[in-house]
Amino acid sequence: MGLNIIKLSLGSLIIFCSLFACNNSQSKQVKSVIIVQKDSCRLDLSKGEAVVLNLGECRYCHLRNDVPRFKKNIPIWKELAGMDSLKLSNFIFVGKHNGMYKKVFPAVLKRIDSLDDCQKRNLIHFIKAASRNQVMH
Amino acid sequence: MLLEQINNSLSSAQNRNMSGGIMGKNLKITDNGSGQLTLSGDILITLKVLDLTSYSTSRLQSLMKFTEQTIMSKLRGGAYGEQAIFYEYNSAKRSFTNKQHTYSIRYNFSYTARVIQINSLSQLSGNDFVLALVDDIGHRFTDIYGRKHASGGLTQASGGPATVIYSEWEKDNLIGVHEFFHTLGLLDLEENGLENRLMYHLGKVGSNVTNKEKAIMNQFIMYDLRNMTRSNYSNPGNNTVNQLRTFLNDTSNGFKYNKAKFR
Repeated sequence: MGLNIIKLSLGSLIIFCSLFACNNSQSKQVKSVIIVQKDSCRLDLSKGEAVVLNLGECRYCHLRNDVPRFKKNIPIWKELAGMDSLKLSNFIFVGKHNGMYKKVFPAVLKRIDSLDDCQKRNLIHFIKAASRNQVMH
Repeated sequence: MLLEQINNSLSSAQNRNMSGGIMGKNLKITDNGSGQLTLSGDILITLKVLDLTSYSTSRLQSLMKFTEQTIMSKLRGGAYGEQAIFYEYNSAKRSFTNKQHTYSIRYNFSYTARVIQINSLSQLSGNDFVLALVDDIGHRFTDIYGRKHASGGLTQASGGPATVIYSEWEKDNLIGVHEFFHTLGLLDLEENGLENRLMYHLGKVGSNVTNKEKAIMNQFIMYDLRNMTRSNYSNPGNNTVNQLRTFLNDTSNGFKYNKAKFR
């Protein structure tokens, strides 16, 4: 009698464990499907340059040389490139150049708002490239 | 007569003081009143060629002449730039005000190019452009299609020194201009269908330069519009000798050249 009870208990435990294991593996599969995402945006200097030209060439004020600097408080192009990407991105796309685009250049503001995520990333990529020693072939 | 003599001596003194890769004279801004500024004047571009090869460069003079003519022909003819965010121009005062303004820029410079050979670093100033000839370049790059390539030339972009493998320049005489135009701010092109463009770099380069590329080079040359309000201009120092030394010594570039000639 006692042996039968033990056998029954062990059998129930095995069935319970196998069910639990199946459920657990299913939830793992679901998670891995969610994580995998394809990024189709290719970073390309010429695409970033095209965005700069379309917005309105910034390098007439953010000069490539600091002799002489355009104005004391205006960073040169290389200094912009040395800034943190997120800070740079926020300055351009969120703060809109301290509100300068809205106040003085509404056309530029429209162009900035119409940029897609990939164009924005390419613009930052292009600016940041000036802090690296770019080798051309 | 006396006035003429004074004028002549003044202009020759100005010429003596000016040197560098970019020299501008008779610079002028014309405002058409409808948001377009036209930049005009005479600009002389000088590229100095430093031969660092270990072998004979018998065709060097003809390659330099060809490069000189090509630089001129590609820069000439003017270009329309994109809109620029800048400051309002006051034609009467020949200066920019503090009020912000957008302009479209039209470049209408009259270009002359000079490609000259130098024999030592003492002939190279801080604001000169340089093209160094080397024996080989070990650097390899991967294109957007994932293919690996060797390079006939290597340039540090936007104002930096340019180099070419002399034997490759002999095979493709446009490589010298291609590399120098990197110095003037142009990027490499890799997309299929752009094989006819001068800045295409996967195989033999083409010869076409677009209006947009011309505008980018003009913007590089006259990067500070305030310089247009003076009649003469030469580009600021760029520490060319040090830049060239660092570039050649960078092992990741894999330059092979005659070190005894780098003096």
